[in-house]
Amino acid sequence: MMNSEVDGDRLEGYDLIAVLMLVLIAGLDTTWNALSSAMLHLATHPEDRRRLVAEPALIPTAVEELLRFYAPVVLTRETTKDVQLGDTTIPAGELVLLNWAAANRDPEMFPDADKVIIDRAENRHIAFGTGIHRCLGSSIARLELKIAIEEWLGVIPEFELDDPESVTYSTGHIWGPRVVDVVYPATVAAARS
Amino acid sequence: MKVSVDPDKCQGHGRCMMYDTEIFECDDLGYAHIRGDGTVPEADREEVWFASLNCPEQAITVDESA
Repeated sequence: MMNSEVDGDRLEGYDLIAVLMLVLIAGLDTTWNALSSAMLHLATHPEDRRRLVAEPALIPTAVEELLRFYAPVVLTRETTKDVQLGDTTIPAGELVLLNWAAANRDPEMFPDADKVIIDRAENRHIAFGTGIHRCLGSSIARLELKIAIEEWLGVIPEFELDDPESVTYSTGHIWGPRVVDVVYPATVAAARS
Repeated sequence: MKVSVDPDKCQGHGRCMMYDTEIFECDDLGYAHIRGDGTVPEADREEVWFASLNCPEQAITVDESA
C-alpha cells in the first residue's frame, strides 16, 4: 500500500494512516463477530454441525447463510442527492443507517427468511453491503470463515455451548456474540478422560 | 443459453467465481466478465444459474432462449 499507485496517485500522510486504520479495524471485529456467530450457531444446532462435518464441501454455502442470518455489520452512508424512498424524501447530505441485516431477512427475497437453512443455494444476501462501497475485504473474510470452520470441525466435530447465560453481545455498528464458551458434550468428555 | 455480466453493476464481490471459473473470470481489480462469447455449455448451466441467483448486485443475466 505504501508503494501502490492508482491512476498515478499515491496515498500519503494522513490519508495513508486513515486507510491503514480502516483496514485494521474493518478486518478484525467484523470477521470475529461473524465467526463467533457461526460458532454459536454450530454449538446450538447439532443437526447443522453434523451435516457440515459429514459434507465439508457444503461449508462455503453454509458460510453465506450464516453471513446472511447473522450479518455482523451496519454502516452509515451520506446521501449525495435527494432520495425518494416510499413516502419519505431523504434530503441530500443526510446520514442514513443502512441495516444490511434487515435486508437479509426480507421475506420477498428469502423464503423462510428467519430460518437458517444451512444449504440455502439461492442466497443473494448483502452482508458485505452493496454498490461501490461494498466490503473490500469480503473475499478474505469468506476465506477466513471457511478455513476456520473447516479446521475446527475437522478437529472438534462435537461440541456444545457451555452456559447460554454467559453469551454476551457486542453492539453498535458491528454486532455479534463477544463470548461463546463451548465444551465437549458429556459423552465425548467421558470418552477422552 | 447465454450469460452476460453488466460491468456497470458488477462490484467485484466474486460470488460468480465461486460457482464457475470456466465461464466467469475477473480482471486485476476483481470485476467479473465472461470468458468467450457467453455461450454456456450444457455442463455449466446449473452453476451459471446459481451464479446469477447469488450475485448481490444482480449484474448477471441469463438468456435461456439464446
